[in-house]
Amino acid sequence: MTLFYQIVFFACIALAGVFIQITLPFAFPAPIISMVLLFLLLLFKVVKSESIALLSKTLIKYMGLFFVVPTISVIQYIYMLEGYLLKFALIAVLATICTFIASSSAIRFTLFLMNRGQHNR
Amino acid sequence: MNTIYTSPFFGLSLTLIAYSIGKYVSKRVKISIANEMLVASLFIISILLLFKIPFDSYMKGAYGLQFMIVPATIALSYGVYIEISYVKKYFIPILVGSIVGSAVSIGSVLLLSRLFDLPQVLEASLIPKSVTTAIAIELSELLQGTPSITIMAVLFTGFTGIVVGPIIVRLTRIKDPVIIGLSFGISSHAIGTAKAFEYGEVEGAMSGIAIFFTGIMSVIISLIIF
Repeated sequence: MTLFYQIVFFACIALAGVFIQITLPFAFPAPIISMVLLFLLLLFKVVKSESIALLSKTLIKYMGLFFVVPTISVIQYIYMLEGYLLKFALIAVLATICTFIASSSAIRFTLFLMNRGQHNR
Repeated sequence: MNTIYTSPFFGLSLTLIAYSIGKYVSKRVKISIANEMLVASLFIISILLLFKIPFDSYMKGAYGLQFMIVPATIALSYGVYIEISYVKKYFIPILVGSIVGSAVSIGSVLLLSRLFDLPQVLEASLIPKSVTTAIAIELSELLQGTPSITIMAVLFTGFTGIVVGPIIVRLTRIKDPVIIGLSFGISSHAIGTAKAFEYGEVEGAMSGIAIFFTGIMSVIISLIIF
């Protein structure tokens, strides 16, 4: 696919996500639906990964650029953190430590069970 | 001078130049805190404050860049697909790690927010903190949080992960590259993935995969809870 058709394809996937979102009986973010949809299309070889490689790689490589504007917009909302900034940061730090320890322990235990299962067989 | 500020090309050009500077700095400095997004944002805020440029004038041109977040989110699938051999081989640990990590992240934010008496809107903005920015913004809107505040939380989380992650890895004597990579991706998204790549290729690839699955799991768990 040429770059133009890759753009057309991504726009269609984004639109399909919105369409599915409307038909769902519960709220679910359309971009996430589109993301899963593309993954399934790739997985079941409906779409070849090479045909969307150029646009995908470019979007991933420069992803940070698209978040600069929402990051700057924080100056419009900074007043909301007045008196809460320290607590806000502390929660983010503590919760991240908990997440790291919990996820690494869960994965370690799962791999241990899988290895034991293979050993027993 | 005012005409320059009011042109839509002003905000667009400033963002592109700032991002190029951010990329250059993050490549040269090679420390995770010199994140390209953070450097670019600080540069733009400094310019706006220094020259007293109204925020609305800047946004006139820069606003359109935000629309690219959706295609960039969709492109994450491609990143995971090219690592499909790892996904197939470690699907169960990936799934278990993503579910546990997302649940603990959301649960600990809820618990600590109530403990510290944080307002509802800040709590909702903090919940998606362990998810990559693209998905975090969507989740924040869904939970009626403030996406810009969520981005701050995402950055806090990323930098915490790269500082405390290696300490936890050392203290708990984790040697397996799969556990190291997944833990960084689950707890501290793309910033953690950059750190995981410092450990090795497998760690980096696993971390990238974890971002995708943790994003989906966090959305599902949040929808079940709220």
